[in-house]
Amino acid sequence: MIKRHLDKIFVAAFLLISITIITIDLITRSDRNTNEKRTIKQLTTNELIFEYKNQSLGQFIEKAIEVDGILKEIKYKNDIYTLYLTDGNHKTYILCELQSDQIEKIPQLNIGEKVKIKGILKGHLMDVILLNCVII
Amino acid sequence: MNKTLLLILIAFINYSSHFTSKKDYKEEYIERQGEVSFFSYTPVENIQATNNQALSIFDIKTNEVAVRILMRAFVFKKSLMHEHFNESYIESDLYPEATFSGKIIDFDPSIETMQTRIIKGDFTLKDVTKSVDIKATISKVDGNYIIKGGLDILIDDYNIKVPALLSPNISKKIEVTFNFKYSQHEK
Repeated sequence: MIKRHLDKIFVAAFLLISITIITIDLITRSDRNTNEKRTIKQLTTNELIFEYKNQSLGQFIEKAIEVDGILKEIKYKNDIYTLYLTDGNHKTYILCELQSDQIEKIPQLNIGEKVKIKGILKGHLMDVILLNCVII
Repeated sequence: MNKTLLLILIAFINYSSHFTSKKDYKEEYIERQGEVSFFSYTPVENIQATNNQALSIFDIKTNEVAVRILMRAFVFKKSLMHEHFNESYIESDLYPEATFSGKIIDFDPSIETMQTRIIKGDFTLKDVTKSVDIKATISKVDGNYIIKGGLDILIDDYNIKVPALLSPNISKKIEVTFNFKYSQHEK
């Protein structure tokens, strides 16, 4: 009889601790590494600009996508590197804000060369904007 | 012969002045990745987010400034805050941008030193547009312009609804700051 009660108390305590840990993790979790997120679409810069001009970017918002294009420029501001990708035809660029752990890859990049990134699509202003990008 | 030379000279002067005026006409400046931050201070919790995806055009001929801010590009310390901000408070699916359109009062582009001025304009957040006066500094550095400033916005003014359970965590008054570094706009 006592053993059954102890079992119940043990299960209840286990559940309570588990729920507390999960809740704390959910509240304090920062954005996960983009490398760990599933890519839902692979596009070229040209295809992504086409989707933007066609007003059909909505399907990819807050999702991880892979984009390849020509590196036009690298900008550094507020401790963040941003890659500007171009398709060579449009004045609309793909702006990729890099994740902080990508800094060591910057010296290997060359303007005018093809680069492939994976990032989270946030939307567009004059350009199409991706955050938390990783170079792949 | 002299007449022909004179005509050629007049044509050359006309061409030169046309070229010069075209060169001087570059009066639009652009910032593709302006910085906008906001702070919410309460005794329970301080919330801060930064966004490097604000697009702004500054016309020094008309003193007009236009800004578009991509709301989903605000970066928070915790991902749950980002989720609440976009899904519950701002409803970024419906209102992906906040915008500002205004004019700098008494701005003089010929002054090389920093100018502190008021920018009067309309700020739109979600489906609400309000007239605002923003105190800002305008500096000219290497032929380009830097505009910095800030404003306080009241969440009740912009139809931002915070659940009663979370209201002690979010200030009624949000402090917004911005820092835009413009360069000449080549269209």
